Amino acid sequence: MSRFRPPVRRKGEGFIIDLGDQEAEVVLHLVDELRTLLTNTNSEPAAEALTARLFPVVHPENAEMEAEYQRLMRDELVQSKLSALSQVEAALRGNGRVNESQLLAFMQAVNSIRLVLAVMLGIADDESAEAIDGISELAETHEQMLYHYLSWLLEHAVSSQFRP
Amino acid sequence: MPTTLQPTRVEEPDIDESVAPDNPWVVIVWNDPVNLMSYVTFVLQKLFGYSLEKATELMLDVHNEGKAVVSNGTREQTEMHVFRLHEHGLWATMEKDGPST
Repeated sequence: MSRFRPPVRRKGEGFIIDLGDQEAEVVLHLVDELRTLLTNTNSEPAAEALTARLFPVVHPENAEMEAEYQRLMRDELVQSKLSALSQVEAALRGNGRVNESQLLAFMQAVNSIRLVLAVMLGIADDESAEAIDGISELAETHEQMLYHYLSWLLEHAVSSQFRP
Repeated sequence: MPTTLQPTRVEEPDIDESVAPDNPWVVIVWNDPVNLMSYVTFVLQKLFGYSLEKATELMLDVHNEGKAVVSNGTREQTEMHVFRLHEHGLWATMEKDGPST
């Protein structure tokens, strides 16, 4: 039996994101889907709802300050998230080698996709999250499977930073 | 937050937890059911230079109490902190500590 190799690990001065071909294609597809949601200029209510967790309210008790903050920062946050998606694409279409900054972008992008999937899955509180976690692998929906896979991937990306 | 792996220790300086009068704004991270505990701890270490112990303590406050103040500063500083937390997907807000002046 071959030794388990984490999907994200240190290599040389940097890191390697080492997904199988099929897994990489799945992540790339999800990256593409999220980019479409983020660049949807029609602001359809459904798309807005799916990405709501990516753009939290900053000043919940002051509408004027909230409007000012969003006017100044919303586009920059969208651009930051799009940049992270592009860095994931470059890494997965290349040899998977990334530096620390690119790995951080990978983690941000993976977590952004998880946040959107969570909305699709109706994960609104700890109880609904635990209910999703408790579903047998055999009974999982496609979205549940993706959510769990990305959670696993993110765990490995975090722990890769602390491994020698 | 879901239970997760625990990262290993890194040494970082501790911070002053008090809110100085000239740094009246605070950044609050709220509990949510999606962000992993290990990821929240990692982000707090990465963005604010906290030790593993400090970041873990804050993460557990978020998880158990529903929220935690993770930083303070001027309005501009805390807006940037909130922005960086949002880049990572954490649920963060900011507010002025104490009565408005």
